[in-house]
Amino acid sequence: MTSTTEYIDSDGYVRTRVNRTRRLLGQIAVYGGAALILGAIWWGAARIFDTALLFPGPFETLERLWALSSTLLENTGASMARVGIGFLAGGLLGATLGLGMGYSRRVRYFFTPYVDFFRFIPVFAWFGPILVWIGAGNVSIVLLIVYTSVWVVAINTLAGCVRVGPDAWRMISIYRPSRLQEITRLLFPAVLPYILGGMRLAIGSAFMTVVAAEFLQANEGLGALLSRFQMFYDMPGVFATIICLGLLGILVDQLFVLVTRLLAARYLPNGRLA
Amino acid sequence: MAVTTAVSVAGASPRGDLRRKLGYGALAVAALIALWAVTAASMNQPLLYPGPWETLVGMLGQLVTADYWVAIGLSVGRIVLGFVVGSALGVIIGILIGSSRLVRTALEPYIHFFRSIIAIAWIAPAAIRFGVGSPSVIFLVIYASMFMVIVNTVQGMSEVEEQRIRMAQAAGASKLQTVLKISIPSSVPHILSGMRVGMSNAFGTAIGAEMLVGIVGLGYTVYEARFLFEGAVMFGSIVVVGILGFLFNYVLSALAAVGLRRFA
Amino acid sequence: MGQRTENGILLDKVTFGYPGAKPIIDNFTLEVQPGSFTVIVGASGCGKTTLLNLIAGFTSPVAGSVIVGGKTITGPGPDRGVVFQGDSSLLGWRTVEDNVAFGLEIEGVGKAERLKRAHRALETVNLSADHKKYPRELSGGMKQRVQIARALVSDAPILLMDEPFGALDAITRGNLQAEISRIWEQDRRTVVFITHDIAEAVTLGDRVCVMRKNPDNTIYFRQFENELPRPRHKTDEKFGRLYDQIEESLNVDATSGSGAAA
Repeated sequence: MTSTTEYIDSDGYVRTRVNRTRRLLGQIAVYGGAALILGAIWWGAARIFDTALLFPGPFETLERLWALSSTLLENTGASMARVGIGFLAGGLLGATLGLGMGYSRRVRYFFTPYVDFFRFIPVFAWFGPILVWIGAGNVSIVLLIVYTSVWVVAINTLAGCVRVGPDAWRMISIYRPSRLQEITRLLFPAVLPYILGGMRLAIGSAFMTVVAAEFLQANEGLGALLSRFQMFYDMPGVFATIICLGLLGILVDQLFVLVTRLLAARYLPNGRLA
Repeated sequence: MAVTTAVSVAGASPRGDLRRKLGYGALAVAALIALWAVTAASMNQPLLYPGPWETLVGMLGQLVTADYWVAIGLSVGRIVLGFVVGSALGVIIGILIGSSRLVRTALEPYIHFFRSIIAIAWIAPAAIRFGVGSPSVIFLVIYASMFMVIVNTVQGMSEVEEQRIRMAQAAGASKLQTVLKISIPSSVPHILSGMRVGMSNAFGTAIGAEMLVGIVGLGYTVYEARFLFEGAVMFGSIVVVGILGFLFNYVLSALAAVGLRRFA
Repeated sequence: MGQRTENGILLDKVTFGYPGAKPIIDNFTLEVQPGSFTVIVGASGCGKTTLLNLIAGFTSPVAGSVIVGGKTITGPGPDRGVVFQGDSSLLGWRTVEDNVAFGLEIEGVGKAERLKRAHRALETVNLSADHKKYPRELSGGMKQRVQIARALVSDAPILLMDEPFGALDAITRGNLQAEISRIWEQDRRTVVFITHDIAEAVTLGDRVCVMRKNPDNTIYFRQFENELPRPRHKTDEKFGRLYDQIEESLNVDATSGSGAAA
């Protein structure tokens, strides 16, 4: 069944012999099979519901997806811009907060009530108030994204700080470092994997937040599209947008992992994020 | 210098520490309330941005009404039901997918695809299928909890320590026996952490869905209070939401700690 | 033990390595006599764990075959019990007795019988009192004894031990060495024991195999017969002499100029 066998080559090295056709066939079978089966289930479910306009099947959806591609792209840009700003600002804030809490006991005791309280309030609960105080628009959406990001990153950062072993602190104390040096030379590099891990989570929730926020109150962006399609019972449009959302989510996540690997490999265990 | 860092090296007195912790904590809470009161006073819009006192009074007025508790009860009910069903499904599906490397490789992209889609995006199809009401919200909550649990369960099953698998092989275990007796118990910590995230997803989704669908519940209360110019209710309900969220998390962790300690 | 004839091991011209690199062991032959206590001693990375994994069946050779009890093996099995380094193979959610009885459970032995045999094995390693404890409540030495009991309970004719006492303090190590010696003397299984500790090798092994990786990646392998009577004392003159011989063997010969000492 396996397509690879091992052997010793003429120079005395261990090599693998890959039966390429067999491996290719295997991959096609696995991925293609999964796609076909899932696609068939989708198609079947759509038929059962009978009204193609209320539950579009794979073909209608893909058609619509193609037709909408430029609209989707434009709106993706709008959504991503908001996510980008909010997530970076929130991440920076969260990392700073986390580092502060990790470094100083007093800071930690002070901010813990805030973190432990606000992390349990889902961002959705703030939609109403934010609308009242700041009104609809980019600022309020970005603020909501900052809110989502801050707590996730702060909590992850703090978790990383706690894991810096006492021996590392003892070691650096030998050289009588300044506070700043302690943070920049020991704490921050040691905690970076956790900060990045938290930011990866934050991007995911930022993304979700932006869609929900746009759904309720914006004119452009993927969430706004979703809302508009829904209002007109344009289910193929809804499904097409959903597919776009899913793909975008995966893409953004993988991009983040790639960028961190390129920039920060030596700070990460095994050279990459989990 | 290193002596004052938070990584407490042995030597800090525990009782003094506790007092300090409470002290700073209380200071933080007081500071926030003070800030709140000051900004509220300066904005002078008691109906839209009430201060702490108005909020307290307004909320007490709400909390004695049956309606408010009905809203809370409905929200809690949907969250609990959706979360339990979603987690159960998630664990089962996760185990099934995770026990076969073939199935996992084949389905992994789709799991991540569905997980990236916020549950609320499905509100239109859900509403059409289930109507505008609790079932739609519950459906979304199930969706939100399920995928997180699936992802973590599958990851847990794939990360079982090699030594354990080898030990089972040396004992002559079949694949089924290995999955049942080694892989699943070893994955419990992952499953729990997936459930924890799933819980906060479920919570957020329920609040959000109630807002969008417009049915009685905490989410709706918070969102619509601004139309009624009931700033106190708006603020107070946010606090209620926060307390609920904390409680859910706490109960889940406590249950896990008590029942599943030996799997740690 | 009626399995005397079934517990000989033969590594027949075995080659193993990972793709893209030179083989760790190449065309290697080793015969382990039934009922012997064979110790393989060498520095980290010399390939001794590789040998153990091949005998256990966790890995397959690229060339050659591994023959146990006259038959070529195709994978792990209950005829070769394994004691691993560290405690990852212990199941934290099961009590000591359930960990020990694990193999019997897999084989479908009934509960009463399982527990009876598990308790007998635990008695052999002096852990009877702790049968209801969980692994996290045990010390390092106790955990290794649980592994030994687990390997004993299936009456496996062959016992493979991969640096089992490496993570323990010297005193506990000494105790466990004495214990495994005693257990082996009782039923004379075939034992293959891996270590980097020369004193441990001389204490335990009737045949001590020195394994060393040369700079040119070939393996230096030399077998010493250890005929000292048990129990063996480190302070013995003959013990010391054998120790010196083995140590010399393990280090790259200074006069041959093949680089720094191992």
